[in-house]
Order: sequence, then structure tokens, then C-alpha cells
Amino acid sequence: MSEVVSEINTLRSATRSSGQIALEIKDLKTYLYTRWGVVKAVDGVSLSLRDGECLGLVGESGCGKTMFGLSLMRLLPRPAGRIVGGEVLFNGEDIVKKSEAEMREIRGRQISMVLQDPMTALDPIFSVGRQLTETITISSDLKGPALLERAVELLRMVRIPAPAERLAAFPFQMSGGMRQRVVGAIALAQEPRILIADEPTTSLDVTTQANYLRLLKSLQERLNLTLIFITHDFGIVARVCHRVGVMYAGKLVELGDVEDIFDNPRHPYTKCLIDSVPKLDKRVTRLATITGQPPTLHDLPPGCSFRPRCTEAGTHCRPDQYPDPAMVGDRHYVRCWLYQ
Amino acid sequence: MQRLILMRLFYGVITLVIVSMIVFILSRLTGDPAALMLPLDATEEARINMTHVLGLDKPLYEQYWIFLSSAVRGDLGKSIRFREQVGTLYMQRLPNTLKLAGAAVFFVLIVSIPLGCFTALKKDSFADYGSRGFVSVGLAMPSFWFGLVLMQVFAVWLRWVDAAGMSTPKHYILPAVTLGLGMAAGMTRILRSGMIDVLDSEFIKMLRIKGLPERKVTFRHALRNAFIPPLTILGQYTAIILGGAVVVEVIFTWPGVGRLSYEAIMSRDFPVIQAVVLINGAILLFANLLVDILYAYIDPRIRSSV
Amino acid sequence: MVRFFVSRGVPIGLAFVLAVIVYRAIRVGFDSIGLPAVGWLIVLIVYLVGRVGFGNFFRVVKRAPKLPTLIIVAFILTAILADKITGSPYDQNIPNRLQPPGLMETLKTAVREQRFELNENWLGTDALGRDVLTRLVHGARVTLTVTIAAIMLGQGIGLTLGITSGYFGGWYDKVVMRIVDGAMSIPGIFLALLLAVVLGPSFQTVIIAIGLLLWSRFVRTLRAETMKVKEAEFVKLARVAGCSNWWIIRRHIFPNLVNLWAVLVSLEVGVTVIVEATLGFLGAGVPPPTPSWGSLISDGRQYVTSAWWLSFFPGMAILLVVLSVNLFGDWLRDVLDPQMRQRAT
Repeated sequence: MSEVVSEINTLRSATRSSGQIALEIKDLKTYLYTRWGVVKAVDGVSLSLRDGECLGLVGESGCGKTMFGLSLMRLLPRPAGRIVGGEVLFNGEDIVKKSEAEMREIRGRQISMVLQDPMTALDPIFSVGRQLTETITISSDLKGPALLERAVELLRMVRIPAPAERLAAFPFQMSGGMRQRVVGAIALAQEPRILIADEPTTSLDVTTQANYLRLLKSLQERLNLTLIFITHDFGIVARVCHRVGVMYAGKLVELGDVEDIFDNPRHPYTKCLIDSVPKLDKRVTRLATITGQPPTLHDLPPGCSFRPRCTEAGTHCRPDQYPDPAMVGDRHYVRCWLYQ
Repeated sequence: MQRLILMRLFYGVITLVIVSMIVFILSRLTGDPAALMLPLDATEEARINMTHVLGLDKPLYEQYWIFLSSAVRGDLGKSIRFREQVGTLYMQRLPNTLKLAGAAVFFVLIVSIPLGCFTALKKDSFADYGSRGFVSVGLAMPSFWFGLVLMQVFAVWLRWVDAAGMSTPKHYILPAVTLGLGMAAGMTRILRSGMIDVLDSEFIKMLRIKGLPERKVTFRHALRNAFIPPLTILGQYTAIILGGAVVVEVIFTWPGVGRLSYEAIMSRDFPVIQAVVLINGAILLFANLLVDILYAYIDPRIRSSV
Repeated sequence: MVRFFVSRGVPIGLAFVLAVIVYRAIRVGFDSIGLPAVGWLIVLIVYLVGRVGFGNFFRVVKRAPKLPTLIIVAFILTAILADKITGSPYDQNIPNRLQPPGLMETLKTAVREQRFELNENWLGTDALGRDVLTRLVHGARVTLTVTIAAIMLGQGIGLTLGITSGYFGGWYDKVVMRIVDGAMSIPGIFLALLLAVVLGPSFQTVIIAIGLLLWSRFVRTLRAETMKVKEAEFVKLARVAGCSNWWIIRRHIFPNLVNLWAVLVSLEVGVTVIVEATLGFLGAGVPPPTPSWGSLISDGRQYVTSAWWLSFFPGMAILLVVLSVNLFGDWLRDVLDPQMRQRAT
């Protein structure tokens, strides 16, 4: 754990938890209406974020993390996805109730997002420069040399070498890491306050991953960004985030500060996730794994959905009801029958 | 880019030589052209004389060589039926076919772009089902019968247009629709599936994330990407226009290349057949080359790979 | 699901018997093949059921598109049993010529005079007083026979050349591909028409003409797929293990092409039906008086103003059959080769 802790100390910014509330999400519910039934991808998630804060959202694939991110952008897959309940308060206004035209004002300028796969996130037939300038002109009147200058500046910001020459390059001429940087530059081109990063490093190789994380972290501090970092890797969360939310089957089962969660995980699922991260200071012959498969998100029975895989399940688990959030510390809550 | 064009040209010329061989052999497999050119009661002497004049008494490879070398010089021989230079004959008919082809392509585009692209934006809507029905029926429609039905309905019953003739733009409607229906259906299908693939892709999501107006997402990005695959079959469609035009030109008695070749085949006018096949092959080659260049112009990946 | 095609013996036997039946139909006459054809169909179904299992077979059949499948089955049965369900297509009845469709007349009398009277010639009669429905039903035989034979010929050449040129490559491949390019640059109808005229009008001519139009389409796709399969590890392993080329093609390449091949065949059926009809229409099809759908339309053409039914019904028949076959082929493609969705377009 010591390596992780030292990383936390070096990377943790000083701006934490002092700013204004940037985003407040209350009981958000996003369902997907598919041919096979209703999928409750996000099922009653509540949390709030302050300016300059970084929230890590952790969970297995298919637990609803990505749908959560897309719900905030209001870009759910059509026609299946729909937000069916809850509020997302941003600047005191409810995003869920906004019209498509109003949303377009918010997207990119206020809330932006970086997608998982840099190989497909750029239009293959437009040059990098064209895609950048197109983004800049959405919200500004820059023209000619000033516009190009701004594009170069953005590329420099994401530390792309020789940015001026890169403007003419096409996406297929760049490596995955470089492309992801360009995607980052496009996402940040209109200076949004909130950035949602959806597994931005999953498809990059390890060295590129580390570089990208460092870049993201420094940009967050410099621009005072509010960052929602979606990942399945607890190691990354420890390096980058102030707070951690653990998602399981569409529900936020545990939420708290990074130290709290790491030192004192409460939910059995969180414990399993942390145990399954390899550590340098412990000699283990086998990494811990979670038995069973993540549940499919439609036709979930009432009651805790982790129960079939849970090592601590017992008679205290009521089968007919999902546990309510229980505060187990300062800014730390958990949804588990153990703490009711 | 230049290398690509040169390569294509080289292969194209080889293809043309092979085509000329196929047609030459086919044309010599049957009948005796000399017998066709002479009156039925011609004497044996006249027949031998004619055979000699036409060079038919020479060995086959020599005949082919004569044919090929004069074809390269632009001399495609004389029509047996019309006793006229094939080149002139072809050139008289070509404008009519080109005009019809232009009208057909216009029809294909105005039908397939709205049906293919905009129904893909509203997948599983009423309009989308309509466009899918159009595709299925259009691809299954026998064009010669469709032409007859159109004539019956619009020329005979409703009297909106005339069934034959080509003097006014109105005359172009029925042949162009008949010729274009199958292609419009095929084009709609390709555009639709391409558009759906593109709209599903991550980069479209990214464009929406950055707040680009939906109009620009559709026209500037989605449509341009979705147009790449249909371009490659444009060459194929040139062949269909030149070939399918046979049927349509016969039905609507359109004096174009298609009917010229139909009549040539039916009366075994082999110089004309050979010439038509060769020129069609050359046009196809040229069209494919044009598509390749266009393709490279739109898609930077191709531009830099060659 | 189509693994059964691969197994030795029965499929080859079935194909051989089918070829014999088609040959007999052309040479001896259609009336002689009714029983063997029905028998062949039964053997095929029994074989399919035995191969994939009763439950599986019906699960797949249940998911097939209903109406198209029904139309295809009806079309095949009509063609085989034409002489059993209708009379002779050559029976003339000059006084009864150019009668409008009886079904329509029946409907008219029923509405106007509240009198139900079933008219004899359901779809009317032609200029020689022959029953249109009877000729239509017998025309289905020509369509079915030509389709089966032409596709057997075309895919046979295409499969052989496609696999060998893809597998062996080199100058052989280059020569084959140039010839394919050449054949493809001549418009399909044009080539078929030319062949039909050169060889003289007959059943065999139509089959050869269409077969030679189809082969090049098969070569291209099957060659590309062979080249892909050839690079797979198991083929390299087989080569390392010292298998002969013939063995590798038979046991490794072909089984991996079978699905694609089945899909290609199903997609070309519609093309074949339309080309056959077009040749018939242009006067280069099966020679008269044998009724074929294309020549029925062409015969009706001169009466188009006075007797629309002569060319309307054959056209509808073509449209329905081709539409059904295409929809069925689309379904088959989704079942057998989902990737093909992109490749085909």
C-alpha cells in the first residue's frame, strides 16, 4: 500500500473539497428499453461534486458507468436509452429537463467528455487541425491565424510535439496515445468546467497510460477542472482521484474519500476490488478474484444484487429490499445490510 | 497516386485485350459472316470471293491480329447490316444513351440520398420501413416488366407522357425511372447501411459531445464518411447502365447504344458487337479510374497509401 | 447449421441426383420428373433433419421469414407438379381468346348482380385462347430448371477457380483474375444474349449463357475468402504436418467457405431468375412454344393496351419469387455469415 499512498501524496492537489458545488446528482435513473426487456443501467445514483474535485467511478464492465457518463451529457443511445427519473443540478439548473438546443450550449462548453477508444473517436477523413478549429469555432469567433494559433496552443497544452506541423496530419497517421491527446484537446477546446473521462487509458499501452494520466492530472489542476474519471482500475483511482464511487449493477454501493475507501473499505464488493489489485508490499501467491459473473442488468430481483457473489452475505441481508445508504464516516456512505 | 493510375491503366488494357479475345472467339464460333452479307441465292464463287475480301480465309490468329491492330488505330471495321463504319454508327447512338444515363443517374441520386441517408437518421421509423420496402421491391423488380407497367399506366391509361420518342424532357421520365429503379434501390441500401454504421461510431458521439450542431454532424461528417463505400460501386453501375440499357432501350425504342448492340446481336452483325463490347469496356475502365481518383480525393487514408 | 454440406457422400449424391433430374427434365420432358423430384425433396429434408437434429431444424425453420418461405415452397411444388394441378399449356381454344381474368369477372358479377359464378379462366386467356394461369404454372418449371442448372454450372466453375486461384496464387491466379475482370467488364445481359445467339436457341443455351454470367461473381468472393483462410494457423499446421494440397483444400479450406458459398448461391438465385426472364423477353430464351415467364410477358406486349393481364401476371410472379428469394437469402446471410452484411454491399 505504501507505493499507492506515496503516489496519492505526490499527485493529490491542494484544491480539494474547498470549492463550490459544481454538480449535484439526485437519484438519477437511466433505463435502456431493449428488445429483451428494461435494463436499469443507472438506478438511483446520488452524489455531488465540488469545483476542482476529481471523482473516480469504479466498477466492472457493464455496471452502468458509461451510461452514467452519457446521461450527464444527455447523449444516451437512441431510441433505447432514456433518463426516467432524478435530477442533475448544474449551475442550479436541472440538466435532465433541458431541451436539446439548450443541451448543445452545455455540451463541450460546460461539460465535456473523453471516450474510451482513441482509434475511432476522430473523424478519419478530416485533418486534426480541421477537427480542432471546427471545435473552437463552435463557441468563439476566432478566424484565420488567430484560430490556428489557438489550435496549436491546444495541441501544445496536451503536450503533442511539433504541434504546428501536426495540424495537417490525419488521425490514421498518429499513434493511439497521440490520438487520445488530440481527443483530450478537442474535449477541452471550449474550456469546460466538468470533464468526464470514460476509461481514457484502457486501450493504451502501459507507458502511454502513465503519461496520459500525468497529463490529465496536471491539466485538471491548472484549469481547475472537475473531473469524473470512469475506470475499472483501482490503481488509477488512487493516483488521480480525491473521491471514489463504486458502482455495482447500476447502483452506487459505496462513496467516500480515497484514503477512507482504501484504508477502510466497507462494502464487500469494494473489498474484493481492492484485494484484486496487485500490491508490491504483500507477498501473495494468488490474486484475489470475485467469483461469479457480473449480473445482467435486466430483470434484477429485489434485494442486494451483489448477494449471489458476496462472501459476507447472511441472514442480515433482506431479500425483498435494496439497502439504503448508511453513513459510516465523514463523507463516506455505503449501501450494504451489514451497516443498516 | 500516379502509380495507382498507371497500374490501373495497365491492368485495364490487359482486361480489354482479353475482352476482345472473348468476343472475337465467340463471333467466329458461329455462322459465316460472308454468308450473312450475301444474298441467299449467291453463287459459291461469290461466297469464296467475299470470304477472301473479308480476310476470313486467313488463320484465326492472323484475323485476330488484323482486327486488334486496326482497332488500335481506331478502325473498328464496317457494320455488315448497315455497311457503315462502326465508329460512326456508335457515335451517332452514344449521345442518346448518355442522355438517358444522365437522367437515370439523376433519378438514382434524388431517390437514394433522401431514402438512404435520412431514413437512417430515424431508424425503425415509418419512413425507414418504407425505404426498406422500396429497396426490397426495387432489387427484385424485372426492369423490362416494370417498364411495360409504367408505360401501360402512365402512357396508356393516364396519358401523362408518351410511350416512345425522345423529343421533350417528358420522354425521359419513364425510361430513366425504369433504368434507375434497381440502381436506386441498391444505392439506397448501401447508403443506409453505411450511414447506420457511421452514426453508430465513436467519432459521431465525440462530435455531439463537443456540441456540434446536429446539421453539421449529419452533413459534414456522417454523410461524407457514408459516401465512401457507395462510390466504389459506381463503377459497377456504369456497367449496369450500359448493359441494362439494352433492355430499357429495346422497350422504349430508344435509339441508343443498347438497342444498337441488341440489334447487332440479333442480326449477328459481329463487327458492331465487337466494337460495342470494346468501347463499353474502355468506358468502364475509365469510370473505374475516375472512381479511384474520387475515392482518394475523399479518403485521406487512400491518398497517402498509394 | 450448414456443416452438413461438408460431410461426405450424401451431399454429393444429392447433387448428382439433382443434376440427373434436371437433365431428364430437359431431355425427356417435365412430366417425367414429378415423382423423382418430390422424392428428392423428401430425402433432402430427411437428411437435413437427421444432420442437425429434429429440434434444431425446426427452431431454425421457425425463425425463417414466413411469407417468403411459403412463396418459395409453393413455387417449387407448383413447378414440380404443374401437370398434376393444371391441364396442358398448349390447349388452344380460339373462340375463347383474350378473355379477361375470370376471378375479376366473378367479383364483378358478385358485386353488380349479387350472383356468384366461378369463371373458368382465373387469370384470363391469351391470343390463342390458352389459359394464362396454366401457362404461368408451367412457366415456373422453366424458371426453376434453368435456375438450378445455371447456378450449379456457375458456382461449380466459380468455386473451382476461386479456391484454386486463391490457394495457389502466382501466375495462375493472375491469369484467372484477368479473365474474371474481362468477363465482368462485359455487361451481364449483353454477354448472355450474345452467348444465346451464338449457340442457338435451346434450353441448354440459356443454362450455359446464365452459368457463364454467374461464375465470375463467385470467383471473386470465394478467392478473397480462400486467401484469408489460407493464412489461418490451422492451415499452416496442416501444411507443416505434411498434408497434401488436395487434402488441405478439401478438409480445411472448403469447410470454412461453405457458409459463404451457401449465402452467395442464395443471393444469386434472384439474379438468375431475372436474367432468365429477360432473355426470354428479348427472344433469346427457351424457344417457343414452351412457356417461360419472360416469353409470356413478351407475347403479351403487343396486346398491352387491350389485354393487360397477359404480361401483368407473369411479371408479378417474377417479382414475388425474386422478392421472396432475396428476403430468404438475406435471412440466411444473417444466420450463416453475419460479417457478410458488410461484404455483400
